[in-house]
Amino acid sequence: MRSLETPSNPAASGSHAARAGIACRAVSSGYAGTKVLDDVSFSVTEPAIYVVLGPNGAGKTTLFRTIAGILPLYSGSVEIDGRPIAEQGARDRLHFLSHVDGIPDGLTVEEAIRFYASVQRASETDVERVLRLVEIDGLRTKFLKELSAGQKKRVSIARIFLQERDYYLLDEPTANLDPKVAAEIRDLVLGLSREKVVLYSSHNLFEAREIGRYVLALKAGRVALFDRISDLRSARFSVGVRVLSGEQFLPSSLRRGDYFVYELAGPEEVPRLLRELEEKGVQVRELKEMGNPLEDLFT
Amino acid sequence: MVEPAHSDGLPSLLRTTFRRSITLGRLYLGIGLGYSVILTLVLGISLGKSASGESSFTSSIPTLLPIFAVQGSMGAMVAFSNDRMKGVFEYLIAYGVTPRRLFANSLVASLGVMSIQLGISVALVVGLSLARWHTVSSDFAGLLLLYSIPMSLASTALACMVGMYWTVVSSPREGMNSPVGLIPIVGIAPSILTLVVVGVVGAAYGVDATRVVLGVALAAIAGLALLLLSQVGRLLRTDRLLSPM
Repeated sequence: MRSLETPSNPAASGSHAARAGIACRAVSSGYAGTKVLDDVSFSVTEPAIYVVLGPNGAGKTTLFRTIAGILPLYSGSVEIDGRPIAEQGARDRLHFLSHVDGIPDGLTVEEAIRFYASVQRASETDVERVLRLVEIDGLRTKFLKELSAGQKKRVSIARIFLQERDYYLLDEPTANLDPKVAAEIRDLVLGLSREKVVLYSSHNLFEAREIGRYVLALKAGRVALFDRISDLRSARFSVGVRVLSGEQFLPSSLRRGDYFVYELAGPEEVPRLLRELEEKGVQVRELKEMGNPLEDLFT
Repeated sequence: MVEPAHSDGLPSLLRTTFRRSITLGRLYLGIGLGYSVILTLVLGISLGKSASGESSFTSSIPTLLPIFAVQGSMGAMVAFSNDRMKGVFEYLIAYGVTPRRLFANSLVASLGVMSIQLGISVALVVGLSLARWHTVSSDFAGLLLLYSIPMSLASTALACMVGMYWTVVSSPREGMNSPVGLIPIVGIAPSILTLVVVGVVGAAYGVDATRVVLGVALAAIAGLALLLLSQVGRLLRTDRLLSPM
């Protein structure tokens, strides 16, 4: 299925009904006259995480930069709640987190947060709140060059919590982070998505499936798919079986770590597989879906 | 365009850029200031206490000060180059700061840092002149006011603008072959070239002719700087200010 608007979700709350959302209409943009995005159209209104996926060069970062009003439009329009992105009033509804940290050299952590606050017209109170929220309170006097990658990312992400806005553009916020910090950042973003529209790009398909409600897939600068992630089905359905006993009855060629992986036509074949295993004398400890339908978007 | 609010104690964009220009460019500032102090002291002490010594000192030092002033102002270029590489410009533009304002911030910060260094150098030169020869001649004061200070401002502005344009039209890179590494040469070239021409013209036509050379050189550099300033809107595009992907 391919749709250009937030796919319908009857379970969603009505609180977002008044929002016109982010609307991209026939957008083309790029760098120095070279088109990267070509005729991209979609709109998002419902508070959720919209995972933007695509192979390298598909136009994910260009899409974020275009929506944020950084790159000029070659054609088409980008509107935030009905206002063109060129207007400051539209920009003021967005937070944008680039794939690079965007932290000015030569400042301490506290100075960097205060710098962001001055640009965003946030207050001193917001500075103190955010320092505690992203747990960089103890790093106030550290210079940025003294921080680890994870600490730098915390400083970078702090700026989107200085003020509450309706729309968040997060370009690979967990890239190159250790799993613990990545999980903490995901938790912060998940907290946001209860009431806000979050566009989130990632190369981590498992992360995308874990936190995303919708997927917007780009291929060669065009929208290849826009759908609910839970509605996606893998072309191949594979399940992993972990056994309590009887593994000697299973072919070793199917073993992938602790699991024996079976390729099935679909979920409806799972009961048959379980029966066959039982007949062979295999006691199943765990059975889980191994594939990720998002992988198919890269093929 | 966003005018960052700083009424509640938060820093302004310009104040932050200025501070960072000093912090990031402290090596350049130290070198520029160090050279000008050493040269002033060496010349001031080595030249005799006679009138000819005073004349040599007061005619040579003011023409050398712009060279070191440009060197010391490079911190703003370092900050500009870093901000492009590290996505700071991307962030600022997304929140409504225009490329024109980013350019103006760096230019003003560059001139501000240069002014600090030049102020210290001029104070030292004047102080040394008073201490050694008990006078500041009108020719000396005139040369400082009409050449050293305006030439320092024009050369710094030229170097800063060439550096910014160069940064935005080139692929992001760091090191000595980056704009930051090469721009000091662009900055000091006009002053050195002027000194060479002054030497040749002075030998052939006398002191009065050298003043004409200084005036023409100053006008040419200032004109070039103003020409570049007028091209800001055309040359600084947002897509050239972004970090590499």
